[in-house]
Amino acid sequence: MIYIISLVLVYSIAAVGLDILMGYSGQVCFGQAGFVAVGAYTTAFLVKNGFSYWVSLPIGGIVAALTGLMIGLPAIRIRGHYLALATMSFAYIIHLILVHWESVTGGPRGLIAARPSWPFSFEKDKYFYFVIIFIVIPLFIVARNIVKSKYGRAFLAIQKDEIVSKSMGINLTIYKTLAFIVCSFYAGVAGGLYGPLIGFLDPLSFTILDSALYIMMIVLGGRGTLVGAFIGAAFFAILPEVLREAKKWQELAFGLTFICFLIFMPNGVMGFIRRYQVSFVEKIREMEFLRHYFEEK
Amino acid sequence: MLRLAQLIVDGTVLGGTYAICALGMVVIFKATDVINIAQGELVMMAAFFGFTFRVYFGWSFTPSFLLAIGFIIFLSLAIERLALRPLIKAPIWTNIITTMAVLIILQAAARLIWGPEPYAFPPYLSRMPLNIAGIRLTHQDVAILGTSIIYMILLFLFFKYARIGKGMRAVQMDKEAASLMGISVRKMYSYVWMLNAILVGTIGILLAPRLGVYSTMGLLFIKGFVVAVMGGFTSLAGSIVGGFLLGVVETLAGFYISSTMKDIVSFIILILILIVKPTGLFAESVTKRV
Repeated sequence: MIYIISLVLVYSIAAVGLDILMGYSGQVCFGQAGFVAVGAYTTAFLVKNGFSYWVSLPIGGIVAALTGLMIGLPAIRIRGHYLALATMSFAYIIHLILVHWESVTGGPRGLIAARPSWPFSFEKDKYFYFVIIFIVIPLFIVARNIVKSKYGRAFLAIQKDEIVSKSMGINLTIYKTLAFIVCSFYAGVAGGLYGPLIGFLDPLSFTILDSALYIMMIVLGGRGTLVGAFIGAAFFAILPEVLREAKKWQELAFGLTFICFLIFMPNGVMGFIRRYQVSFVEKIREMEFLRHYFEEK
Repeated sequence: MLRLAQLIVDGTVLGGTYAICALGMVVIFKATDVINIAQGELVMMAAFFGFTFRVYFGWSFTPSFLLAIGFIIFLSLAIERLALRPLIKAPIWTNIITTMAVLIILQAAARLIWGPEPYAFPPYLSRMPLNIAGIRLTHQDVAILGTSIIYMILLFLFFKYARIGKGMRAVQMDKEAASLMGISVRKMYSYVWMLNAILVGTIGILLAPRLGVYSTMGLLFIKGFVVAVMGGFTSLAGSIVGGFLLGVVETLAGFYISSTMKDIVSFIILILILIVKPTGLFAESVTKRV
């Protein structure tokens, strides 16, 4: 149980990062699993070579962010479909590197990711859970602050209309790249936590389908609402456990739910809640208006 | 020298299938603004249907081929009708995610029906290789290359002379104007998917003896994108040239550098083209400077 909650939190870090990129700055990224893989493998590789986990984790995040910069900087020229294809092929290249660069990544045999043993051993799931909590909360607060600050508003402006935001003095190059860096940093940290949580990394957990999974999380939860990322992450971490008996049907269920969500609830769970919130508030207003009306009479 | 020629010919055979795959993608994209990520999965389904009829039921080539194509057409129409038509008015990126979900569903369905293990597909034609001026080619390869080229020619004739082909071109240019001229845009959407189904279905069944049949074989055809991007996702001629080019480059890289590079090279080409010249190698520039 505690393991599943940890998994939800780890997924949601990557999903929150992706939400800043896709939900706020409006760029499409089909390569989130690639960034997660970069963070996860960097962290695990450094730990294997004698570095402390607490140093390796931020380095993993930074290396992932640098990769994000590498992709994001050229990607400012392209948008929409083309950006989706470029990020997707990036994720594919990362996957191929993981499979073939055996001296570092262990290839298809995988890489063991050890849990930290300082200041005390985190071998038990419930201890490692606190490590995750300790990292998730600040990251979420930072994400919320980014979104509420001038950066978040600039991202939203870019999503609405690039030409207008440029003429309002928003530097597109800087802001779009920044969104990519934030997104990939979050993904890298999520990867650094994912490895030790599972205990083992192998290239099959970082395919293009996993990138799609992160997109599904934020679409399902509601794009552009950070809380939605948590809802989506929870859904996709818990569903496999629920469907454990019917493992064969799992992917089919994923795909079908997702298409249904896109068609019937395109704004996700949070969008659904918000719509009813609004109509509820409006109803109360109407009632007050009526009361006024009657009192005047 | 002979080895180089052999590699180039091998690459051309491979490239023909990439080109057909990309042509289907481009035709769909131009008419409906959908990038069909599930293209490779349609190829996979075609191979599996062909396998079922040919090996499981033991039918001869022609009926199993035609019936498999029929099933793929039916499947494509179902995808278009059930998954994509409700999203016509949705933002552009949702299309790409929807086809991604379709990809997951088709792969999972194939695994449910036929299981995860690969199957061998008996060749249609004799196994004896032909020897043309020192270059060895199997009958199968000749059939694949010939079919790809015939399809390309037919496609051009279709768009130039056939009524439906002209209608598709009109829809690609301007949907409103086309519908004012009495062309049913919705019907054209279905026709475009049918056309694509015929293209990828044929490729799937022809390639099945060469590749074997398994549930993740669709991933091989992700290279159709690279080719489509080479043509800027709009140019049919660009996709054909790009397809042959990629097939040859890939085969050469696989032989002279390393077999690992075979896959990586195509994605590096894709990223480079997208970054340097997103409109494709053969198209005129239409980007908006901001």
